[in-house]
Amino acid sequence: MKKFPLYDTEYFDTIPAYLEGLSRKYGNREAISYFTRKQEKITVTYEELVLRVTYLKEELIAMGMAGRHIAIVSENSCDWVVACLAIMACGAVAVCVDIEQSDDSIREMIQMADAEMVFASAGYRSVFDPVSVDQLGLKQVVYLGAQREGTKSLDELCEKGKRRTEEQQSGFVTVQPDQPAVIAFTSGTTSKSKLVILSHKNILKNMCDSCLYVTFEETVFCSLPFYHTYGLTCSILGSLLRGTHVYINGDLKTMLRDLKLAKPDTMLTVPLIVESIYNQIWLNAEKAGKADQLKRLLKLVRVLRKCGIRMKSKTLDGIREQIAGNLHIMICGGAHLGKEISEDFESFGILILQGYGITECSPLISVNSNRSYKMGSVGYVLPSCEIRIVEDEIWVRGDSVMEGYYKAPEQTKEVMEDGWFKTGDLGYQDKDGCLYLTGRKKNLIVFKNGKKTSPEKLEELIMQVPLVKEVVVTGTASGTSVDDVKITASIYPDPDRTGHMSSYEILEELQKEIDAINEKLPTYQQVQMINIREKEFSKTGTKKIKRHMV
Amino acid sequence: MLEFIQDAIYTVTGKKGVTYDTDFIKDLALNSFDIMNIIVIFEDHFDISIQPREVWHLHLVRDVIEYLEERGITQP
Repeated sequence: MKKFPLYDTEYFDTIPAYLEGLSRKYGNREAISYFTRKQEKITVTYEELVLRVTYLKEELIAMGMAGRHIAIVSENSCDWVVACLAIMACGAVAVCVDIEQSDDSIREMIQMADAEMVFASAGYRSVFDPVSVDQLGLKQVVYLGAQREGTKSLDELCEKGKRRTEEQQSGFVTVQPDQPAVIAFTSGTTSKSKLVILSHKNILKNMCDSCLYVTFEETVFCSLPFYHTYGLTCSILGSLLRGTHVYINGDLKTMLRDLKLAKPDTMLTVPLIVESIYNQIWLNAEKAGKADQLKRLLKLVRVLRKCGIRMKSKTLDGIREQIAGNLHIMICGGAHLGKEISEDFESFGILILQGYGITECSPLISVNSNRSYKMGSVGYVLPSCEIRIVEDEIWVRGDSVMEGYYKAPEQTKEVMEDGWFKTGDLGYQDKDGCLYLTGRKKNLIVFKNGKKTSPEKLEELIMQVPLVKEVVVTGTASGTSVDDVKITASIYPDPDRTGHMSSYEILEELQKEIDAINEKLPTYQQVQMINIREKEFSKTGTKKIKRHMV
Repeated sequence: MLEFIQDAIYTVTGKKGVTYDTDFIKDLALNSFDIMNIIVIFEDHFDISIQPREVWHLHLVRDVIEYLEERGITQP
């Protein structure tokens, strides 16, 4: 294992201790900024953030929510962070709902997690019509942002909590490190999402450990969805732990605009965004008729770097400044990023540090360090994580690993063995201890935006089409489709129902049905191609389709 | 309107040859970030707000034109 100097960090084991640390260490420093639709910048300091969290926490305690499950259904916002921290600080569990799903799926997630209360943004009002609120058994739906008639708002709860604090009527709860803090959703190999329970210790150990390897500069841009553990632990909470000034963005539509306005020096992101920025650089060069010149320059820088010579180029610096302003560090995870792109970005003056994580591990398992990194690798395993490679599969053990899935002991048993979590990812470690990923054991489709989906989930939807007898959904990295993965459904039509139809008629009918299914799915999950099979799929002795033979 | 859409797609992705029947995903291989950046051009130009969930079902260029017409926009 290669030794390299670690950065300093303070360790906390519960969210209340973390909040006290933020307030004590960073006080009046700028904590979170965001831009309104009219490009106005709103900023809160660490002190203001912690106070707002404290007021909301007080009100949640008074409402008897300690120990209960509270869901957050909102795009990224400062109030998302306030709600999440207050929920955890009052001893309740924050249910982080994936908002890129249909209204029905969001309701299903809330129900599966037994949430009794919801914090939602105005864009999700349709999910919480009176009938649904009743059916879900929700005690309260509190809206983030401005208050509207007939609804409760987060501001109102904070105001009540403030009065309670001023009148010295604070409630008292003790939060233990092993207590559940978060329920996050993950795509399992079954059709339904699994609910991962993470404790205070899990997420804080993970976050504090990552500070030993990775340092951010002064301003960080966070556009990863907070409902994913990568966005929550590594991005927003991890940035605050480092005392940085965090610019948050919750909308891909305004991401580039906000990136230009914020001028961050550090950004946490996924390969989809890195590749989009990369493509934009080449598009600009082509439009200016300078693509060949740029290719030659990058080749020269690469050759010199191999000889140990670092070349400074005003042209490359200019390109970086034009497309990414002050950006110098990008932390990239969630999916695979090509080594060549990382190398080219280094030539532009942007260091890309790749990491690897999985929701069940809170999520970070390994990451490259600013002080020691290897392109193409996902870095060094965190100090509190132990890994084992069992028949090429990566197993993880340590303080960041979840206790289990919520109300699913059987599913937990499938992935845990003697405290080891079986990731389903294949990989190896080199002599320096750097981890490399080589593939996946599980049937998950991984998109360039870091999101994952199980083919079984789509297959279940397609099997509801009467003409379909058997179906297998696969995702292939193609470089020519949405988020770089083409989702193909191979269908064996039911001969009893299609005997009288021509192949063209079957395809046309199936396409109509698939289009209807696609309408309810986010763009990246939509089925893009249908293959019709004339024969049934090969099956195992237990009549399961042999996926690897499709 | 077709010309306006062609320009928006070219600005974001550098891709040309867009017709009424071009499929954004199957033919142009746009990713979700490209789609959002094209939406921004529409929002800014027509001074409208488009929720990402509203566009999941818009596959073809002609679907976008119909969608805009439904919102009373017929000219760029």
